[in-house]
Amino acid sequence: MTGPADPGGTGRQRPGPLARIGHDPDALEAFYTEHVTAVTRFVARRVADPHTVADLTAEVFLAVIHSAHSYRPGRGTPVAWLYGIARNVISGERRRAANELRAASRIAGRRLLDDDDIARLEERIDTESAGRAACLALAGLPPDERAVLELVAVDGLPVTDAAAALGIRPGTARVRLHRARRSAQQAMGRPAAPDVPQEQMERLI
Amino acid sequence: MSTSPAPASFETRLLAELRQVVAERAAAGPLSAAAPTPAAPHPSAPSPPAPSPSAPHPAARQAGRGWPGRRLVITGALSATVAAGVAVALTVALPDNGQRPAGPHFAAATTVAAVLNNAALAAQSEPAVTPRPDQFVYLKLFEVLDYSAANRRATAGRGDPPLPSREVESTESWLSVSGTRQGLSVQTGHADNHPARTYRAPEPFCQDGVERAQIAQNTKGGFRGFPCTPQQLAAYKPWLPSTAAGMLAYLAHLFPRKKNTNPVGRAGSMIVYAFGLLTSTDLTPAQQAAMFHALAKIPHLRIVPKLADALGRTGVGIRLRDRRDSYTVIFDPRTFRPLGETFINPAIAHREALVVPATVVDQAGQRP
Repeated sequence: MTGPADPGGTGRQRPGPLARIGHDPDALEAFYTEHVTAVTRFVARRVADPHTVADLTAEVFLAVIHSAHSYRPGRGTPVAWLYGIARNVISGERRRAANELRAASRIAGRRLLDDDDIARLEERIDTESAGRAACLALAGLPPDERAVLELVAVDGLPVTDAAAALGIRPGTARVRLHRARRSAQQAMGRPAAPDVPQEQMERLI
Repeated sequence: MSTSPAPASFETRLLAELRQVVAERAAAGPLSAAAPTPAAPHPSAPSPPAPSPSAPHPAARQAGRGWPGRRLVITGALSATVAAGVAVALTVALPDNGQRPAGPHFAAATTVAAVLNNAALAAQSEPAVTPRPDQFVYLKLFEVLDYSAANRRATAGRGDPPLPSREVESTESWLSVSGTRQGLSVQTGHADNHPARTYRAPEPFCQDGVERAQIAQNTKGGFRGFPCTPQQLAAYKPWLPSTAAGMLAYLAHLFPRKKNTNPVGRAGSMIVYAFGLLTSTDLTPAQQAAMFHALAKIPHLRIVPKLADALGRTGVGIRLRDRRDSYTVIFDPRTFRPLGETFINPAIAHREALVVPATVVDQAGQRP
């Protein structure tokens, strides 16, 4: 395993303006406004229930607030950092995500979502269905490889950002991406994942 | 991520709540600002940002269930309770299986109504014990989460062996009877063949209208800043209804029927919430009986004559199906006390057993 990426190679990293998010509501608002749609879409590519999408979106930004002080520009862009957080929140949800937890989420979300919200989120979830199918199709890959391929092929991150999001070096990410694509290519030759659109599968490789 | 204006509604309300969280953190001072980060990714230590709910009163937590930095220590029905806006707490202790010398006369458990009526009789036969405000309610849960179906689906047709993916967790919780003392949760678990890991986390309490809990012993610490009342965090809630009609009205109030509401989903929310309360709150015997009678009036429930809980104990189940999801509460077929619950869909199976259903103890960390 490699350590956290330090592309700048300086080893000296200072907190950036993102650090203000944790204690400056205006800084939070600027960051939130810029990224909330992307975060919701990121979640909707992995979760199909509108209440859970709302819950996890909130959870991602709570995690952002509480970990903003730890952001270091030398370790990657804010976007990569945000995707790393989002990914961890969702994998935490998955690990825990047994269904009554989802039921709990639905209850929690119910208080926050009105009918219009639900309709809008469901529309967004529909839009991201191909991404969800692709994520599912990748489930058989080794986790390290899958993580890189998901961020690059499904979420559209540059490899360096994906590496930063995962806390690995870009070179490591490229190696894993190469392996993952090879595995996905092999998988394409089999009758797997019939619900993944061909176009989406081709994007994966 | 792409730039895009936040649409109105849910996103706008969430922003208002998040701004409040930040403002409270700023007001709380540098300790809070230096709270540990859960989210910094590191490949060799993929600790999840583990949001942990506790008292869902503040809207931010209703939305996010989150207190990053802590692992989710209250799970299952407890989560439902918590996420829905009621503090965690526990029930009176259940008798050992089959050890009851003499009990109420139960009807044959062949219908939902009969099972729930038996459960109400069993609850009423328990002694009503009023805990002291300074005491804690102890509860132990055992959970098995099985994701292998999801993995089989992912690898179906490829000739790959199914990926093992099974998580086993045991959680002990101590919750303040009055909601004014800090409680504790200890969770030990492992995934597949990985070594077991143990997490300890404080359970929050309410002080001066603000929810507090030291985040962890090994961190710089910090306090939650959400507004609260002690009642929300109390493990003993004598003010809840004690009649079936009152309890049903209470559930209906929590989950109002709205246009476009899926009726089965609403019933599911009500029953999950109800069993969260039953298994995680020290309801009085009358309140428990009222809850069972109220549940008997909820439509869409089916009986499952025989099924096993996470510990392999066989019981009789009350099941609600919503689309692909199936939620079942399991009762001991002799005592008609809850044994546990299962939540199953085509991808995931989650089974939870009440190992030690609930006991009042004097101190957090003290086992009965």
